[in-house]
Amino acid sequence: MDQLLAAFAMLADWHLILIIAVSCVFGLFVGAVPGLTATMATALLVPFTFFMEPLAAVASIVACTAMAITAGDIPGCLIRVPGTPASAAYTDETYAMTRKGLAAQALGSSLISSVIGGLFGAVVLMVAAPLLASVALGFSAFEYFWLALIGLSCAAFVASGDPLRGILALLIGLFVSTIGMDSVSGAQRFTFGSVALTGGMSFVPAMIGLFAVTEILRALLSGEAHKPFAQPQQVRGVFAGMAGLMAQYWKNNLRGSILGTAIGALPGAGGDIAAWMSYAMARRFSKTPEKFGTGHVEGVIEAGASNNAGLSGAWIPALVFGIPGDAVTAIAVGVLIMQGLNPGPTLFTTQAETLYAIYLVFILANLLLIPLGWAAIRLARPILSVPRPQLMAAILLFCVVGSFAINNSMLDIGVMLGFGVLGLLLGKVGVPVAPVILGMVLGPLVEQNFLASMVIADGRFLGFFERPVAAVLGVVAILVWVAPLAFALARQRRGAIARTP
Amino acid sequence: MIAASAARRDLILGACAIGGGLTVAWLAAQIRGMPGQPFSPGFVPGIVGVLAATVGLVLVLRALAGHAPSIAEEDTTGHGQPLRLAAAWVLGGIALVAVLLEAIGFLPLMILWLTGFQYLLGVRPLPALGLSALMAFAVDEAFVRILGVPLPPGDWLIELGWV
Repeated sequence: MDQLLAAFAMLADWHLILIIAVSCVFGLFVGAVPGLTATMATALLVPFTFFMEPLAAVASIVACTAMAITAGDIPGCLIRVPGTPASAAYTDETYAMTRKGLAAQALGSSLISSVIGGLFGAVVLMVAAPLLASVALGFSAFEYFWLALIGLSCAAFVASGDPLRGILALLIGLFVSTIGMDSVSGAQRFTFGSVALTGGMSFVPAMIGLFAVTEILRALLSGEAHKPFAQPQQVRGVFAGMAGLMAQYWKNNLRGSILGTAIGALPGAGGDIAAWMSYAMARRFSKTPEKFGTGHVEGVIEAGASNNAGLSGAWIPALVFGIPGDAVTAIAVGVLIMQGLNPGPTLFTTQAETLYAIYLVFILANLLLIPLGWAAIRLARPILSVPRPQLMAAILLFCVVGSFAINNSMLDIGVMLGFGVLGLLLGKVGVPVAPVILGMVLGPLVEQNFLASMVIADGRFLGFFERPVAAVLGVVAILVWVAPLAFALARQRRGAIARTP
Repeated sequence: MIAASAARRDLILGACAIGGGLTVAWLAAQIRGMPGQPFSPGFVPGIVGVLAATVGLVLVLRALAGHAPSIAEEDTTGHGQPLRLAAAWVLGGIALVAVLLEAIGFLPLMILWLTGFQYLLGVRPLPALGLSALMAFAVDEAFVRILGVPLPPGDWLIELGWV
């Protein structure tokens, strides 16, 4: 109780409230502009968080992403271009509602269900994270190694339709994480004599390059950059009839929130996949599945609740084990480490007040969604009137200044450029970039715990399974790798049988 | 047609992964171990390199066997002509900024670069210049006054005594 009161006291700081408010507005703007994602918003925000207190830094990321994911529904609904990938699952549905004259209902239901899902996820985070942390206190290097491996494996398999491409992206991230001075021996690795690389490849410029510079280059090379956004209609009466609608579809809200939180907590999955799965599930369990795709609100409510619940869910493994649930929490884990708050179970004993304050930020950000989301819907027309050339020029400016200001290093601008080009090339050959970031963040954790486990086990592989929890996690990790292979073989076999005359 | 394109992409990606993976593994093998350390600092990067080369080999074999999956292409229908010059301006500009930021200074370099970028995207020169200057001054002021991080003013401006 004392810790909760202390957390409230930490939150009652005008400076912090101002940062949350500005981050919310920034998130709403980025989310509402098609082509700018929540991950990109976080990447551009990180250089500024470096100059903030740890709580303010995390609060700004939480507030910004919650707003961006919800605001992504606005252009999807009004001009059929999703603002963020998390809205893509139900863009056609909301646009069909707009064409039927139900834009206010579509946006109102996605906004309210987002708030419900976000609050549900935050409550689960508050309850589950400390419980898991108390269990994780007894973990050794073996358990951490297996957990990190499960996280990386899920990221590789889930992030792309082709697991081989996901694995390759992950290996790129792991390799980048080994550049610099080895923390155990002090030996230089892949620095080629550069003193600037001794500290390793800077995480922030790499991330800005992968998510922001890549997106600008992609927009330029696709010719999309000088095409203005379509002008949406004006929407009024967003909250009319919402209470009845939410009562009617309470099961969808609950199912979307539960599934979203669970998928969000799965490393590598995140809100985008949660929304797709929830939309599919809403259709599967609907009494009127034939209405889906014609402008029916049921799937919008379930998927809307799901993607925001996924945001909170992704923080569970990030805070408890230091293993991020998605690209945004991967960035957030990097920020926590830079701020000296190493994520892990000990954080729950040494920084309990800060963690309670972070939980409260989740609740506050989701409640702020109601007025700010409403304002963003009303302001959709001016937001989408922003000309793209000027918008991209502003993003470029923030990319350069953000990369440079972290270490006042010219090399970091070069790192941003290198990763921008890398992201573009990877996109051309269908390799996802999110596992690269997860690999970079989790690389040191995997390496340190792998080497420590190898020393303790005296190099024996079976030694990795001698502790009960480690054995269970090890089996899960192996299953994550074996199951897709088994499914692929079974599919091939079925195909061969079907082709046999 | 789609299958051939998917196979070509797998072949290119696989070849790059094999080349890159083997290079990393070779470089990792050159890193000397430390006395008393059971594993060399190059042990884990070596594993990463070998795994990357293996994944690359599987990609190549899959492409040759005609099993390359078709990865969704970006939908560019309805978009305009590719803006290659603007993309080159972005890449070249970032490279130049990395080299010249301290010598020329944040404000002049950013104003020049962003004005050129907007001009290449069809914005008239004067509004482009005005907006670039406004954004650059605002960011510079924010960093100096709010965050307390001065951005490079430019060696030549310092020599002229203007800063």
